[in-house]
Formats: sequence, structure tokens, C-alpha cells
Amino acid sequence: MKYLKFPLVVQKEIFEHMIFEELFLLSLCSKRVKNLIHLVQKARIKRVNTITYFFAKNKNSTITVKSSSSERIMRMKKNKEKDGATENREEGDFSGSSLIYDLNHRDSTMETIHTLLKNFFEQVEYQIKSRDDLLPPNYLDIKNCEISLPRKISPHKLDVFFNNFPLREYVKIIGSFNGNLDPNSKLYEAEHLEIDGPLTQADDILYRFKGQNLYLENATFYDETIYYFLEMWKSGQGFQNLEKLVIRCGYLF
Amino acid sequence: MSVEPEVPIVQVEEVRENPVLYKIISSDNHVFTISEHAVKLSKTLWDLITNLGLTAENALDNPIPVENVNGKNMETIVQFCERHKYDEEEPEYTNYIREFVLPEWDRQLLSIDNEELFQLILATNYLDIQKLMDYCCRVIGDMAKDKTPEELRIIYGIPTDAEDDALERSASDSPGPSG
Repeated sequence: MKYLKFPLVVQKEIFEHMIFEELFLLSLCSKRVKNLIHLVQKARIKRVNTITYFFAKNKNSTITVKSSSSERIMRMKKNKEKDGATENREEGDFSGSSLIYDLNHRDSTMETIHTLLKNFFEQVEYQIKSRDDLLPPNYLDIKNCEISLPRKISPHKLDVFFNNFPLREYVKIIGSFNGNLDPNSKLYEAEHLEIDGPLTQADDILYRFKGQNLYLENATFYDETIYYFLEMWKSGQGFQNLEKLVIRCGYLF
Repeated sequence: MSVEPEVPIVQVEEVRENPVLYKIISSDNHVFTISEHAVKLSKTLWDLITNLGLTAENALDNPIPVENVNGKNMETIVQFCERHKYDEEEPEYTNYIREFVLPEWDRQLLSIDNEELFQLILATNYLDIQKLMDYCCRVIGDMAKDKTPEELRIIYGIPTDAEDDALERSASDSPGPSG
């Protein structure tokens, strides 16, 4: 079938019967097709204002890219291992509509996909939600991220993860890290920070946070920290940026 | 050459309740009869009928020539229109994507090879039959399901960037009409 020989009005109708995943994969076929999709699906593409990368914790380490209306744009699966060796697939191979990635090259593959998505969607905000055991890759234009921490992650690794990139608007961390972050950690500069970390000693976080909203769940504090903090905040002697603080405390020592 | 297609049962029922029938001649001179309710699904044909002032009395004596559609496609189109002539009007879709499942009868009707489907879509576009266009586009859209980019390229006959560039170069190298 010579799709490009259809009248434009017909091409437009056919695109309206495709989900974003199909349109995006079709756009990878050639520049001409990508431009065509942009031309006739402009309004639909413009309606997408957020793209979310979901890093799942499952045997395939699936990464799903979804639009603001939860429409799937892309799915990536880890190259399976058979008898200790990865299947004989080349980087960037597809299985059906899913891109197969090598775990060792996950971040570089993701970077390529991120660039292609930016080319396709243009004016979009990106966010990450990760439940995977590996920290997700990080890009300059990720505004929001929600990350389940890998087990036993060191504060230093978390600092490295956040320090390489500019300020975030929203950060949610699920899980605990043992020890304090760097006093100048970029994490403290997020506008909105949520930490749900059972048994995380959060006194340092409370003192050093520079943003506007701080939610601390299941963290632990020394009593003196809370007294001191409230006194400083109420009297206007400190924490003047802070607009909202929510502490749901499991334990007080 | 004139071939009268078999009159489907739906047409017999139509004759009983609504005697108006129209005659259509395809580009290869096949003659088809179609009921008034069915022909209304084609905006092009219905506009033509209205403009020509065809009525119940003179409709069958004034066959309508359709130069752009051959007999094979016209047969499919007449079958489709007769099947769907009493369908309720579809609500306007508000989203940018049309999601519905193609009814089995229609899926079978449209189970034709890609080239035939291509020609049928051109005919449907010319005759302006929105429902059939929707259904044909659904079939073409469904071909993209769970396919790799390379498979999509083959299914839809999309040239690579290199092929497009080569085509552009040869077009710009070839002399124009005056050269």
C-alpha cells in the first residue's frame, strides 16, 4: 500500500484511527512521515502537555512512556536472558511495538528515545515515576520525579543523582537512605519535596530544606528538632521560604 | 458491457417499504440499483440526485454515471450502504482519536488485499461516504497494531529518508518541461 499516495484528507482520517504509540513508531519510519503527522495531527499533539516515564519493577523492567491522557506512547522491555546470556538481539531491536533494550545500555537507549520524543512532541514537560531497583536516568528537562529508592542506597549516590541536574519542581522519594545527604544537596532546593521513608532520620532534611513545600512521612525525628524548628519558623527567624510542612510521624525519639 | 448485480434481500425489503430506486453506472459500465435510504449515505451521489431533480418516477430511467469508481468497488459500496442505510447517525467524536471495534460483517466485507482497499478508499473519498471511510480507515489503522517501525514501513509502503532524498535529487536534476 502506498500510504503517502492517499489524499491528505484520507491520511488525516487514518491517523485519527491510530493511538500515539502507533503514530510515534510511524514517525520513526522517515522524516517525511514525521512531518506529515505533525502537519495533520498538530492539534492532537499539542494537547499532550506532560509525558511520563514509568520504570516498573517487574521481570522485564518495563519502561512505559505515557501522555497526559494516559495514552501509551512507547514501551520498552529488557532483553531477556536465556541460560545466563542475553538473547541475540541488537540494540534498538523491536519485538512488536516494544523496544528491547540491553540493561547495560539502558540509559543511552533511553536518551535516544528521549531525544526522539522531544523531536516529536516539542512543547512538553517530562516526568519520571520509578519503582525499579535501579535509579532511573536523569535529564535536564525532567521537572517532576517520583522515585522508589533502590535498597540500601547511600546518601552519596542520591546526591550524585540529584546534583547533576537543575532544580526540580516536585520530587517524591519512597524508601529510606541510611545517613545524611550532603548539606548542599540539590534535593533540598526542590520546590516541593516529599519523602516517604520509614525510619529515615529526617532532622537534617527538616533543617536544610530550602523549598516551599515539605512532606515527610514515616520519618523519625528527635523531639528537640521539632521544638527548635517550630520556634524558629513561627518567630520568622528561619525557614522563611517554607510555606507548607506536613509531618506524618511514625516514631518520635 | 452491463452486468446487473444480484439484488440483495435488503433491497427487496426496501422496494416494499420505499419504492424509490436509483441506477448507478460504474466507470466500467456495470449497472447497480440502490435504494434511496442507502444512496443518501453518499453525500456526492445524493447531492447529484438532488441537483439533477431525480424523483421516484424518473429515477430508474436516468442512470447516474460515476466515472471515478469501477464496478468492483461500486459493488462493495452498494452492499455497504444497503447494510447501513437505517443506522442511527453517529455522534460527533470529540476526542482526537476514533476508537470503535469494526463489526464482523464489515470486517469481512473489507477483507480485501491492500491495493483493492486503497482503490476502495479513493472511491469512498470521492463519493463522500463518511461511515465507510471510517471503517476503511479503521482497517488501515488496525494494520499498525503491535508492529515494529520496519514492519510499518513495509505495510504502508513508506520510503526511507535516503530513498526520499534520492527521489528529490532526481526530480531536481531532471529538466523541466521547457528544458
